[in-house]
Amino acid sequence: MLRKLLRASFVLALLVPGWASAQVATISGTVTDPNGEALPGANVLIEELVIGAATDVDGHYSFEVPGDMVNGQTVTLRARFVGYTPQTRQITLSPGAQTQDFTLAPDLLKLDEVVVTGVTGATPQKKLAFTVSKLDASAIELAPASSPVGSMQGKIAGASVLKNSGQPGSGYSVRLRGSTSITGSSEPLFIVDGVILGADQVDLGALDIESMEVVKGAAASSLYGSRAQNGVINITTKRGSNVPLNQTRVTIRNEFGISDLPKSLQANSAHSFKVDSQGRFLNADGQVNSCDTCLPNGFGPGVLEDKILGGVSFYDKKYSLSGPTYNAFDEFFDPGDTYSNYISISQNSASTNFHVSFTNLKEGGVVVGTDGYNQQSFLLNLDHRISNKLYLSASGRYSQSQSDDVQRSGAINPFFGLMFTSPIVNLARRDENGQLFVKADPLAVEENPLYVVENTDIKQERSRLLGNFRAKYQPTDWVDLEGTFSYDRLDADGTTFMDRGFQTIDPSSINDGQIQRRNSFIEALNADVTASFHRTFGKLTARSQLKYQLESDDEYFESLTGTGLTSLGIKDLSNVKQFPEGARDFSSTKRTIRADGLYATLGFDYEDKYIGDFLIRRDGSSLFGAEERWQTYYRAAFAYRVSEESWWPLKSAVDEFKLRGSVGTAGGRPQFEAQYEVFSLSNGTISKATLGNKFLKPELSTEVELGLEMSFLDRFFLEAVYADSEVKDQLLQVPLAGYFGFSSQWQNAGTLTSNTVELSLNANLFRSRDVSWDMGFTFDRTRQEITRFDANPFRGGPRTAFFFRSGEILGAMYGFHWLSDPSELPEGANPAAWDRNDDGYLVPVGVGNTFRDGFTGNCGLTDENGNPIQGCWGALVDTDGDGEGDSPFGLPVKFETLDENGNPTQFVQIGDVLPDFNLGFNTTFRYKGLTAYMLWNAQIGGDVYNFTKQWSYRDGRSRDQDQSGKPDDLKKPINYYEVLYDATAINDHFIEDGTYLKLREVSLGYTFSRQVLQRYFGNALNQVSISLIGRNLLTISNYSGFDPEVGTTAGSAGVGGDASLYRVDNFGYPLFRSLTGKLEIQF
Amino acid sequence: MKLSRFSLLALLLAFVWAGCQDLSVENPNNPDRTRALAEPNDVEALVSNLFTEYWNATQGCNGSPMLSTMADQHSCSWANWGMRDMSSEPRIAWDNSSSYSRRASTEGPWFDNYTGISNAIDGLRAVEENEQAFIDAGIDVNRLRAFARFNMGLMHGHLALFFDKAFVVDESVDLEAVALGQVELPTQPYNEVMQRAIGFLDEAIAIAQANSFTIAASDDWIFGLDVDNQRLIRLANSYAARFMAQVARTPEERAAVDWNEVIRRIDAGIVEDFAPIGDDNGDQEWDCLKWAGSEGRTWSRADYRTIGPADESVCDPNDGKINCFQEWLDTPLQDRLVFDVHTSDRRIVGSADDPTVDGKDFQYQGDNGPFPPARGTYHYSSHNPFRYKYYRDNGANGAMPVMLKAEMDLLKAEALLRTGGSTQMVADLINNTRVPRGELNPALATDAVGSPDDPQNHRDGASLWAKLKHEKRIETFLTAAGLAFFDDRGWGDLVDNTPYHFPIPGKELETLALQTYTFGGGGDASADDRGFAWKRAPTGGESRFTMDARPQ
Repeated sequence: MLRKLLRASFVLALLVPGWASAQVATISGTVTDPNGEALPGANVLIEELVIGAATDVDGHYSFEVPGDMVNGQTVTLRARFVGYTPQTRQITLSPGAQTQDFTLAPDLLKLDEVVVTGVTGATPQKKLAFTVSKLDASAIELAPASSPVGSMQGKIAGASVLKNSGQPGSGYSVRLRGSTSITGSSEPLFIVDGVILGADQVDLGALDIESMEVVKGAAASSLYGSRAQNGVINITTKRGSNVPLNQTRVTIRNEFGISDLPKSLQANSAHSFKVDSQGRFLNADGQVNSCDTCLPNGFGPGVLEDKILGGVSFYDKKYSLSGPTYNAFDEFFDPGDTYSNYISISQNSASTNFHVSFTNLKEGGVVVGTDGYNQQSFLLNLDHRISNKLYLSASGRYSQSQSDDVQRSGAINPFFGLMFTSPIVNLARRDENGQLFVKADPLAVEENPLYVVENTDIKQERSRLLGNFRAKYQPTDWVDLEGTFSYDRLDADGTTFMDRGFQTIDPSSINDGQIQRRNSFIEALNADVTASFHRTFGKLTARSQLKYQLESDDEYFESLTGTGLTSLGIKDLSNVKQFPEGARDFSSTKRTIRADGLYATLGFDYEDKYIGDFLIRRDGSSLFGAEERWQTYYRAAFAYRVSEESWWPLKSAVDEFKLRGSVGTAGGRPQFEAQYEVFSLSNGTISKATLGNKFLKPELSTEVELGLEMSFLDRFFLEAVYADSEVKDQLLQVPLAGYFGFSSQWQNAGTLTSNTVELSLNANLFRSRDVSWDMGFTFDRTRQEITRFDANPFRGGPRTAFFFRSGEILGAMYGFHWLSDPSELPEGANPAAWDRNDDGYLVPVGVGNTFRDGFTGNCGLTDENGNPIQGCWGALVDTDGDGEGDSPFGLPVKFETLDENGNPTQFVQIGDVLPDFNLGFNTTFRYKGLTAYMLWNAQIGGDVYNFTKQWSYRDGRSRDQDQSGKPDDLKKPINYYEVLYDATAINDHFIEDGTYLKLREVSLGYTFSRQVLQRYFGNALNQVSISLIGRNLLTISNYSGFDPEVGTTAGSAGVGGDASLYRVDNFGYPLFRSLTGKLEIQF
Repeated sequence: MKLSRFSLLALLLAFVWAGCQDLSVENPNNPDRTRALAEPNDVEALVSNLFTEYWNATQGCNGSPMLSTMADQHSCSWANWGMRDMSSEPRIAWDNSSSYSRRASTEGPWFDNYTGISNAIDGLRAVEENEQAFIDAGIDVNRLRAFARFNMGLMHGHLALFFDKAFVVDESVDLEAVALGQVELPTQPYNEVMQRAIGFLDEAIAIAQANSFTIAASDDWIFGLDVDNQRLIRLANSYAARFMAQVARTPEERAAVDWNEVIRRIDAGIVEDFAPIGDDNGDQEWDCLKWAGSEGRTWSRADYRTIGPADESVCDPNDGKINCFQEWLDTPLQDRLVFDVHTSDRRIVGSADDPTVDGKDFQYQGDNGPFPPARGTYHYSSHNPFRYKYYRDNGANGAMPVMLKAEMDLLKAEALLRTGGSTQMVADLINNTRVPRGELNPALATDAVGSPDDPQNHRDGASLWAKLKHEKRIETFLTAAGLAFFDDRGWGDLVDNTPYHFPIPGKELETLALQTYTFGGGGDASADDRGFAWKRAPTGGESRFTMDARPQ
């Protein structure tokens, strides 16, 4: 009773002002689309007063303005609805009721969608003078990846996005347009809800994303100064303001499915050993081989190569004739489960809105016996209006994750042993105690991968907090003052544990057990104050902004390793024995970065036709040398909307035609230690390392971007961009002469240039009340070259397969080339003595023979009695006409040429990782509640170096080496492949075409509309949708490894850390596919 | 309105705070020169690390395992650290390109030694500038100077052994002027570099003779060893004796060594094994040769060219072959296989009757071993060296004998043979290890002297020279980096076309804008003409060592 009374008086109190004045203005009306269909959930509000309402199911809205705010003034009434061009209207606010109906046109081509990254205030796409690509929630939610970064794949022209590793929870390498740095990172600057990330992007969730804006090059990113030469990716999460006014929305989403490898490899099915008629392996005495570690059929140490006359042997005897065979890949890989659970609650009232969500994500991975990755995250976004002039907003995200990893530096990489296992070996065999065998393959020198995975515990725990607080004050309608403060904190703890008794093939100190603990702590703090001015002077609208920004980053890493454990199973470091029974290693690194930035912008827009933008920024950073502490960046951009001219003749066909050009500069910062003179400390000892450089500057990128945008036939939008960039002052670690004691010095010593062509076409092919069909198409092509190099040329990147010098393509791979064309024959060689074999190699065969004559030709071989015998394998044939045998028959020979100094060299360009071009294609078809979507992505051209395959040649494990079933004239001896293996030296036998076509995302879903749901559930449910989602389902490629997207092969972001550039397949965790089902309920 | 004023104030404060940010940030992880050498104690710490630097430059994986396989001491056809490329036959020229994947095997000895030399100079200059400050800080400047000179001697000495020419750098060289091109720093031929190296050792000896001091084991300057001034003098003399003999490139040069001076040095040299003790899991105190050379299951076998001459077996009585080793030598390279060694040397085989019994220093393996047959079965061997396997098994910890007393004895024996000294003394020196460890019959003063051209032979009746060679190769197996290689080149026992020294690394030549060059494979510093490129053995692979290195 009391409660009722209270409630009544509360309501009464609320109503009192209305009674007291009776001067209220009531505004009502409908919001419909051009077909007259109601648009429920559209927002209508008076901008100046921030008072408004959302439309109901029938498209009606109505709200009152309190009398004390009504004085006959002119105000702006704005109606907006997602996917439609917003409309504003000036009305006179006077007491009484007035009706304002809106008909909103669909913004099919998203020209009215605003962007906020790199610009002065929110700007509609059509008024941009440079490229800012935007992905909104609708482009992400149909098949969300586990990370928002992954959601960019194939959708944005000019963006190369590659997962660093298939290992669940690993991040992505992102490169926007061409490379900007030879040895530095190409990672763009990431901003999440205003927080400039201080640590990597792996902890971000994909389910709360409202939009992602991608600024690709310096011409647009100058606003972000010396961190922006790689571009900027700005991620905005959902806020309560997206919910219709005065409503609360609850979304529950569950997705379940499995992950597996789309492709399994096959090893060489044949061996080269002597066997008896039952397939048993013989030893040198002709007996069935036996030893302690041998398999019952004699396979093991002591087996004998089955050599033919000439001393060569062949992988041509099937293992399957000797006993059961196994596929190690099938034993090692195991489909894993993947799921996500998500709940969010959003509410929007006139003065306060919030969005809160919780996500639980699990990615099981595909390796047997590992748990994969599990993340829980919590998001809270809150906006509050204190008065008409003062707004506050806060964004916060906390996540924690646990991962059970397969690979980690310092631990044995199981993918290694996997590639070196004979098919006759069952990796999963266990001894009487249930233990796997570390040396399952008695001939292997690599550990059983299943043993390694089962007995190595690699865990990583991360917690991440992102927070942003923003206050905005609008003293008058043409000035905004804003202050923001943001914080990013990462705590990452990793443990690698091998218990006492851990076995290795060679005895090792880790047999006594080892604990490694790695802790990192990264804290980034950013604050800025901004004053924005915007005024209209007749036909000219001008905007200006002044900003002061400061950054403070602190990073701390430590690694503690203890070897030799006292107790079994205890992962505490106190379990480590003292020297000499045990050993303890420590190392730590601390980095402090301080930076200040100041910028001023001026933007104008004359008659919506001529758009200009100017920027100047001054950046100071502790990372620059003491003499170069402050740097200046600028941007100038201009756009001309030709279609706005009264004389534009194609108004009906081409309703938007814009030409634009922009030039801007941005920087790339040196690494923390680069400027310092360094005497290195290692376990307490000291020695010279690098010479300091107080003149060290950031890399300076200057980009010119030209663009054309047009929308035509009301259905198509085409954007074409040409970007040309030059990055001077490349940061290179230049070697010094030995006697200086310091091995090198970081210097600004090179220039890298690149150009990129990007095309994107969006089409709304069909749209009616029930059916719509949209398509998107992207194309990009990038060329890049090192145009100046002031250091000595050097090799770098993974496996040092890349060559850095003046005039070189960045991405060119160098190594040995096997002779394949008569024009490449060395001086003095007789072309008639050479033949091109079925692998395309020009091999020595001797005059009168062909490469097929290994068993039949006449090469002067004799038996032990001196009688001539048939066959050429193992013979030296004469290739230079002097009558003397000089080169082994049939074996590939390296090409030799002269270098630019006239010195003989065998080191030549053998490949180029840069694709000829990339393509993306997506299509979405909707029929009533049904949605079908797919995204295809193709890379055409671009080489991959298959080092994984090359190393597996060492032990004859590659399927290439399998000679079983080949006719004799095409068989190649072991030695042939040993020559090509070349002890892991980089050579073009292992260059493979990385061309692929991928079905990156596909989904098929059905959404039950509110109207349908009403019949069964009343108003309880707003929306229910179910869908089937596939990611990376299909890859079409000739690549012989698991996947042409090979991931990163070096640990850091330095040379080789960029998986989008350095494509070397090096025993990584392969990418996998997943298929899931999703159920989403919205209240 | 109050609130908005407050927020304005807050923004203003943030601005002011921002404006105060100091952009000068110190590097807290590693010191610069000012901090590294701020205090006399810091300078001493820098100097105290010199032996570690010499050690890493010589005993690390770059250079050391490769030289061992080039001398056919241990055998390994894995490509790591240049072992396969440089020990496969026919021998090839060293690829001195800065892009060669095994380039670290010469870059390591070159750059790491110069880093150490540079640190030594910094230390000596700091003392020179303000000696009193060091004395006030309680630092023994004589100990510091002697140790710095000792290590400058070792490092220049190794450069002279390894490279055809090098720079001599000491405090008198103004490197800033060199960098600016005002002063030229010329390369000097190996014998001049060695002369200076021995000069540095003599300076260390002079300081140590005039002053007494102790480097305590706990200071860890020379890992785990107590070294007083007297012991430092002995070490310096022994190193000088070793260097004088080893610097010779050819038998002629070795014959021309001042062997009387070598004897004088040896007599003033070590009286016990010099065996620094590693205790950091090989982090700094790391002996790659013992680590990689002692593991028969994956990395290493004892090369038949070293243990095979001790084989006494009659391999195939029917065709009149003397023994299995001889038959192995007579077999074409690619057809050579594993055979069992029968010998009376108990270091190699533990029993006269059973070749499968482990010897004291070599473990019987019997199988083909880990190396791929396609790389040449001549790399196979029945034994692997395991005298220092404890070091590997103990996680790269423990004693790392790098100069045995026996090495000095045998060097003295060689000097005596070359100077016409007492054959009784020679026999006694050989017998110091031949009899107790090898359990062989003693060498006799009455044995023929023979000549340095005699192949190694342990048998009774073999010449003193032949017995000496056997003894030195077996007894000093896997001790110092390059020991077998440097002896072999002076004895003329390297396989044909093996380069007998190395060029300045290609990377350094490029930095200094010098013409690139190389040795071996029939070119300079080897015997025959170089053939067509395609006739050369395959080369390639990768370089740096990590604890999780894999055979390549």
